[in-house]
Amino acid sequence: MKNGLITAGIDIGSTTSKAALWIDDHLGSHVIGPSTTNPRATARECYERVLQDAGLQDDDVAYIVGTGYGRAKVSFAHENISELSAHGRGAKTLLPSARTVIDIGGQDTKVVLLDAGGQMLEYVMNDKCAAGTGRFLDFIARSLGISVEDLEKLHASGDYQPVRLSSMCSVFIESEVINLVNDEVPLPFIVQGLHRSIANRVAALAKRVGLVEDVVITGGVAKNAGVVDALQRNLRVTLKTFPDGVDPQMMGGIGAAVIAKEMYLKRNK
Amino acid sequence: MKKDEILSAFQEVIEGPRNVYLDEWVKAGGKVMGYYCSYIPEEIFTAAGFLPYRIRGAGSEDSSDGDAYMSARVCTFVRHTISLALRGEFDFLKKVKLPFYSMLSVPRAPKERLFTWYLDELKRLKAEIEAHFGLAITEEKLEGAITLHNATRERIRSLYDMRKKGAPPITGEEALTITIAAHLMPRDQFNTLMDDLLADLTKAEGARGYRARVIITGSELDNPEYIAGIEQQGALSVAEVVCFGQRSFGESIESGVDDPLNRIARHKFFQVPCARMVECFDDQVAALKDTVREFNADGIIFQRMKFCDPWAGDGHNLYWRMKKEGIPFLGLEREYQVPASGQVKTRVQAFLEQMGK
Amino acid sequence: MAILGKERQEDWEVVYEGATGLIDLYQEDPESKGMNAIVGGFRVLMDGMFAAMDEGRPVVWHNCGCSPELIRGLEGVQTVPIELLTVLQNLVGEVDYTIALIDEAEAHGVAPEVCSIDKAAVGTVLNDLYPEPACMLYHNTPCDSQIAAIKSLTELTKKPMRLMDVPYLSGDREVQYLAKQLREAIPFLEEHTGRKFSWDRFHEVCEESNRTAKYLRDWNELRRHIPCPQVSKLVALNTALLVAFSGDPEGTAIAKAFHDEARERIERGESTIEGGELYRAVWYQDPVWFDLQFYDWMESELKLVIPMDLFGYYAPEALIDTSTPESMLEGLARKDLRVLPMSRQFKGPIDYYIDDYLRMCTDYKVDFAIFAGHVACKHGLGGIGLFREASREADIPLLYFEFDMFDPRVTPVETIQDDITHYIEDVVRPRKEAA
Repeated sequence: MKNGLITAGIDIGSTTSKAALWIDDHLGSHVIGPSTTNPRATARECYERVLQDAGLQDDDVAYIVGTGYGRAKVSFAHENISELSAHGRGAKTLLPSARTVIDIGGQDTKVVLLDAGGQMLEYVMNDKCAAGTGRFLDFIARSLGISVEDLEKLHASGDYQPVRLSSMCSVFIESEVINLVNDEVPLPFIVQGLHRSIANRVAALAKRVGLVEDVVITGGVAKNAGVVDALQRNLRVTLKTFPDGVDPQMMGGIGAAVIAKEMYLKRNK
Repeated sequence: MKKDEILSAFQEVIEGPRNVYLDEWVKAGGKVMGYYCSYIPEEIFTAAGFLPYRIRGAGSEDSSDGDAYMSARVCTFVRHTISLALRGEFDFLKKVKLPFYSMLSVPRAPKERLFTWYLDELKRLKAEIEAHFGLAITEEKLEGAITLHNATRERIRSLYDMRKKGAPPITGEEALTITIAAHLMPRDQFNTLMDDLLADLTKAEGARGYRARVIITGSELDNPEYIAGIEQQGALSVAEVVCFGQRSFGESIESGVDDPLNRIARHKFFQVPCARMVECFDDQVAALKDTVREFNADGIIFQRMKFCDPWAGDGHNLYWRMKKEGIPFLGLEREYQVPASGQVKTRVQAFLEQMGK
Repeated sequence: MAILGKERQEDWEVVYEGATGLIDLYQEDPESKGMNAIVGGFRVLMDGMFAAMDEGRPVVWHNCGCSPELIRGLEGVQTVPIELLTVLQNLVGEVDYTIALIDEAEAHGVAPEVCSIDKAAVGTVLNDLYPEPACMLYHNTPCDSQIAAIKSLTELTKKPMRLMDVPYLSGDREVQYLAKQLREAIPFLEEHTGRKFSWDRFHEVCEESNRTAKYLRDWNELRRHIPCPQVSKLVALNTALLVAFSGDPEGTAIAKAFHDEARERIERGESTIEGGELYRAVWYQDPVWFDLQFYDWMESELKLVIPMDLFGYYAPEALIDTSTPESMLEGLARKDLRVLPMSRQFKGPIDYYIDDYLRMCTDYKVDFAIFAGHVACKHGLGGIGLFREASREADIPLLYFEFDMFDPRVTPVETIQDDITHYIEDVVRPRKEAA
């Protein structure tokens, strides 16, 4: 085997699919791409891409673990694990002080509480309702005619005066937002209000599990500094980021790759 | 008959509102008494010559008829049963000149000071049945009913005892199918099938390929498919402490010591309490812990139907108690009839991972 | 604002200040005798509760299915209904505090579909906002959501709790059964509070309760007057009055104020709606607690008055025969079974629920009815099909909408306003004009 013990994690989410290689004790290549309606093919494609990136072959990889919504369809994986374990392990590996992991994904949100050793203690998921997920932001951004990337800029563009959005349901929030735009409420305040809305939903979920610092945020929405800001204000803790600019959206794939290594070593003592 | 055949037969019994044994009974002129809830003693109906039939929503495709009457914000189980009733699926309960109806006020705390009321309610029920149908429910008939239902209880207990082993000979899905079936068909026929099944199971090797042993508890659950979804993840259910499962059977009623109705009442009133009961949470917790210990379970999976207030009262309190006790506890929400979704499977899988299994 | 000269928890200080502000406001306004009386009464109650705490007197918690006369039969004991803080927060408009408590309860694990008053009660207790109880006396009425609350509160406090089992029917046999339980609860209360129950005191309490009942019964009659002489929102507060003040002279004072205000305004020929009322409706089900000014809006914008609602309706069987201990216990049992709003209607067969509604619509000569479907009220919503049928048969137009009575996030008040406005325009007005 080249370069030491190489394992792979494949995270097939509802919106994006990721593959990561873990080499001995550090992160190797990792890729991300859109999910398709054929998770089996997407998994294969992702894996091949990451191998190509690293200049490796399938033979070089000792163990593969799948995770995410489509994990059962990662046919070539040796095992699969829940995305809760995956995100927990990924976060803990890259930031050893991490105890609470908040993952705001495209279609669901999870909060995982780890013990001091990195084992999962508690977890809670919201996978029934769009409010509090990336989907919510996509949806509203579209009706405002702006890109998701613009949301972050608008959030930071002036005073902090988030509008109060009263509805619980994202569908109803859309009409509220349109009314606000018509009333010429400045867009930054509307965006801040939206971020606060999503943060409130996520915080409510997090409080059910109980927060222990350090708290980290993973998943695609973690890349939106506006949401991070709103969440920090609500939870009154500083959310830690991962060193070396690791993409928080990769956390599930990385965690799966790390767990793959642990499983391999256990089974091959 | 062999295990697979018998399980298949039970599976058919529980699929819809009617089953072949029930149909035979009705065809032969037998009368059926439908009822909700494990606090209503079947013995009274059996003693009156009726087949006790516990109402559930199996076979109800959608609850829209029930929803129209009751709003979409109340218990889905009830809405489905009302839907079935409105569609005539329970008409076999009406095959009498004048349909009978009664409501039992079961006290909300299983305490001695309230027992007399419960007994009086049973006496009232008995008298109403006697008056309505012009028959007599004698002490002798009640004793006979106790014997018959005790025979069912013994067999269920034997079945459950087998699940305490390291390699239980049946899954939770199968066990729940069996205990549900026991509520829907003539008990003597059930008992006979059980004898064959138990004989076969004694020889069976049993399952070892599971990741963890769990107890399933919580809301009314009469849909074994739900347990199947959980078991697919590797969590083998070794006991179902729900009202269509082990909970409503309990120990046998003593025979012949005093007034049979009194003994029946005590047995029912002081059974392991369900969430609708108050002033007994310690007992509920103790019973669950005992079950965990007896069945060598690794953890508890608690499922609650949406809109169920009584179990909402217990759910989080059980969670905090079990946390203190160090017993792994997973809380799930569900809707009636909806099988375990991908969402449930993820949670169960994570639960197993959390337990290190 | 300090209470009895001491600093208290923020939730209480805020509410006390709010109540004081309202009292000052209403003092100026001769049109607000009833509102002033009830807000004033609640401030007295708060003073009483904090005095009990400061003096170390025992406190007994109860729920809204439990009329507190029995507990008052013990010397020096303070009653606290577990819904108290939530009702006060909404009465004075400090709804954000309620929302925070609801969220805390949900974070603790209480299922979100439990009634918001019960979630708020759990949140209140999680924050130790009520004085620690010596014991708790609960009824299983009005509903199963309260069962969730009382189980949680017992778990959280680990204090002795006793349940009064209220059966489904309300006949004489049931009255006897409940009366017996009330009698047996006396040693329980004595044991845990360390205070003595006296039949003399209980007698006085029941007499007081009767004085309140007579005023409320007559007040119900007065509210039939056309035009309605008095603000709509008072009827919604009647249950709060019964649960918090039954047997207390403060309760009689409030009931008398309700009554006198109505009578005086009728004598002066005054309608509560300036310029005259246009529409009358029965509001069946929960009030918009999170915005009690909603009723003011209905009156001024829509000229719509609510002469009677589910909470204000005083069923005509509440007088307690005070001749003997037995008759008093039976009278109290009868009140719990047949009079307390919601407890009366939400158990057993649906008859009271529908019959009361139909009778109310006729007696108060309303143009239509509003069924404000509080989303967590399964007992209420469970009967909606039969209820609608009955309404149709009686030719009473029925507006139905869903909301949460303590949580404005579920259905915003603007949506409710739109619903009622449109219903009047589309259904009620054309009907009236055609008639």
